[in-house]
Amino acid sequence: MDLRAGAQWTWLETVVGALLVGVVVAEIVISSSPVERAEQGLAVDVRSASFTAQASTIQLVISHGSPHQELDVAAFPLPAKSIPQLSMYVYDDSRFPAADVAPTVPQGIFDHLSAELATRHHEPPVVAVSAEGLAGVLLDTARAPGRVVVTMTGVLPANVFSKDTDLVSPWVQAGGVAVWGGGAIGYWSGRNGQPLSSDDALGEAGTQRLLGSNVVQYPTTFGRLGDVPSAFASALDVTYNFTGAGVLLGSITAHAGLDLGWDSGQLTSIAYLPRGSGGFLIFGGEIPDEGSVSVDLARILMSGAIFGMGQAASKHLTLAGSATPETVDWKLPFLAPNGGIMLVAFDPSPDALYFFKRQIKP
Amino acid sequence: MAHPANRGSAEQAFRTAAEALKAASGVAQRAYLRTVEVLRAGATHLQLPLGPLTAGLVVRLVLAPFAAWNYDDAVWFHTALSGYYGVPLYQRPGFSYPPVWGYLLQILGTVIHASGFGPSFFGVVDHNFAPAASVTSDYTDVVTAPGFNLLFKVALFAFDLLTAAVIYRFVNQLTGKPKRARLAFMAWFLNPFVIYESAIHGAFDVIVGFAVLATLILILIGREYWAGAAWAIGILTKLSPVTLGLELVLAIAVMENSIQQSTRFTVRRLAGFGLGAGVAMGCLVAPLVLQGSVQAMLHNVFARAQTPITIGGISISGLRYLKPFSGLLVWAFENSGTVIQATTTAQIVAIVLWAIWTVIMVRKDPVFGLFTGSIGTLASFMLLSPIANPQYILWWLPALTVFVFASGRGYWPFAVISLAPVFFSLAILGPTASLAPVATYTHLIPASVVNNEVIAWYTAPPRLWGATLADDVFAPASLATVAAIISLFVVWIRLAREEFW
Repeated sequence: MDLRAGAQWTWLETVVGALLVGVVVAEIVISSSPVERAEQGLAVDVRSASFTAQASTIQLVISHGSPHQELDVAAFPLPAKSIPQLSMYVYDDSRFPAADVAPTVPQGIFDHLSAELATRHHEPPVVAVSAEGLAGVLLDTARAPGRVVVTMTGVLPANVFSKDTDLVSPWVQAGGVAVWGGGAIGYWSGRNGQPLSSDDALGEAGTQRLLGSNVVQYPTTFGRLGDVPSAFASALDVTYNFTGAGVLLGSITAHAGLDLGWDSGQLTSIAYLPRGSGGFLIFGGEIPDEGSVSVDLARILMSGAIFGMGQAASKHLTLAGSATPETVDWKLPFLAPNGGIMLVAFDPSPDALYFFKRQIKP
Repeated sequence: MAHPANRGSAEQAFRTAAEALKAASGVAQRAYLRTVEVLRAGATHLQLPLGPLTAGLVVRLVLAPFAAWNYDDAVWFHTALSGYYGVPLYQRPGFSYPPVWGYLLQILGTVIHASGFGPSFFGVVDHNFAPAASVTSDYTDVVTAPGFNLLFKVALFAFDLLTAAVIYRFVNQLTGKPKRARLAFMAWFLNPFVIYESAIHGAFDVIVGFAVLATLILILIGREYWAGAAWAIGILTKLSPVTLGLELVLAIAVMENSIQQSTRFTVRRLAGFGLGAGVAMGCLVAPLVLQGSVQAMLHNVFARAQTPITIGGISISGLRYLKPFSGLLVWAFENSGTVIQATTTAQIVAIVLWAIWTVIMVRKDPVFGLFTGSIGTLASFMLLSPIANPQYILWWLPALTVFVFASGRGYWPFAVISLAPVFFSLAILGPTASLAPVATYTHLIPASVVNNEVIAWYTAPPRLWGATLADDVFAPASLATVAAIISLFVVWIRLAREEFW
């Protein structure tokens, strides 16, 4: 039998072949370096900075391709101390229970956060840690400064926090930054392989052991949303606005902390509370979507906002259609302290990669 | 097979095969050779029916821009943006499928970038929908823009049309009746479920359906290499065609096993199929290898899917939508390991049984054996899944369309399968859920209304037999579809008994 006799279906073979070759060649071309570089053609530079006793002014030069439409610029004063490069450890242990987070969050927060940081070339890489690994990080208080532990499962594992154990507080005091999400921190202490029960609820007492009294208001309220962005939330385009277990604004003032989120009444969705040489970065509510939370967290940590002094300024720029570099003069609404200011610029479009930061000292 | 005497219509190819069998019982190669001969010689260059073609395209183009199933389309939005920004497909989590559809979206994103459009071309985050997203967990505040909706859905329409063309020509070739072929074309291209999935939902399962249909036809005409390539495209689109592997290999082996020098030919055919599949898979994975993303793909496709399971959808577990069985949902969630083990075992058994069926039937009638075996495998895999989305039907609906219209049997089940899943899909978050682009990009309906309607539907109490209002619709839609599929299986068994024993 002549295998070429069935020419009437040759077109189907052609379609299959063309689909295969076309898709593969196109994908290889678009992922080649020259094309990638062309697509990431947004750049910001500081042409000049003037810090006087009367005003702080900076001049920016922005070069961009025609598809770039927007740029957000933020600035905030810094204290006179060095800002460390942060190493991040994300708790992800499926043997332990979670609460007040979507099922995909415990693993997803690591995947998304590491991706958000990697696409912006943040070094060093993010590390996933089990409950035992988390305990190891927390016990190493000597290396706590410059380290961040992210626990966004709504439950602290019992080997690091329980009625009889608290590895978190000494580590934070020593300089570590504990990031929390999923209800109230300290409420649950989960056991390996056990679903949560009333025996695992440390309740308000657990929260107070970590944060102190009058920091989180009980009872917490599921689903409560903030509707007024703080200065930092506006500056960094933060979207997380759940305040069900949010931090009281009064306690932020009392502890020289920072409001980084959205406010509802006397509560904020994201707060940074310094403790000793470190601090707690609290996302005060449920975590329904690890993707957007990771973007917020990446921006907060990469910008160094937790090292800010409370003030923040922002500017939203609409870029011209032409590819000609643009110059922007910006008079800041605050004076530069000895530590200078942190200037941050980023493309606020969804999934955009561009992120620029520079510490400008007087 | 498909004996038309007591049904009023004869299918030339099937009858030819059956007569050959009767004339020389046990001589399987005659059936095979005759079928191949009919397939190779019988086709003419048919022009597609212009009226139904135009109507199908118009309906799709009208619906596509302002309707979206935003929970899935948000993933396409992010994936296309990764192409726009030059980020490798799997560098960011979210796209948890094999790469073919992701490549197409990335190419689209790159083209949009090169055309000078900004990222807002793809869509926006509309916080008006945040409450619905929070309450339902099946909604999102990402709203895809009309232009993007239209562009990515046009890619799906192309596969709708390709599939329609294959159905039309193949049915005509099998039956020699252009009118029947035209009906088959219309049954696919004007099918409400197909239109819903490509023009409203934006589901890419039609690519799998096309790949499966192409695989079967290319095997039947003796083009094993390209059949392997088509099969690989299907697998690297949505994995599910891998379930056909055993059946296809056995079918290829058995179809040739009584021809002279059979061993050599069988080995050659199998090698061709394997080589085609291997080369195609290698090509499709090559970009990921160059990007260093293979590990990331495996993580996104496999590891990220492992969460406690829910049950339901268009599967046997759809029983849980009836109030007396509503407790099954919680039980399955708490016993995920047991459920996964049981359903996986059942699926493997079903795959093996359909492979045996194919081996037996393909010797008597290659078209009957290969088509019923493949449809049966994919449909059973879906029915036995813990949760099966309606769009999974598209994996095997093209092949079913061919078979029903070529054999003249199974019209009623086909009609049920074409309608009930539409009601199921609309009931997930209510009929207004797909209108987010209308609300965000026009003033025809406020976003708050869509948001509130979605929440109201999702939280509404039952009025009939379900645990919720949605369950009231899910139950009949799911169970009717399951019953229709099972009735098809019964029809095939009867056909086999009538024709071959």
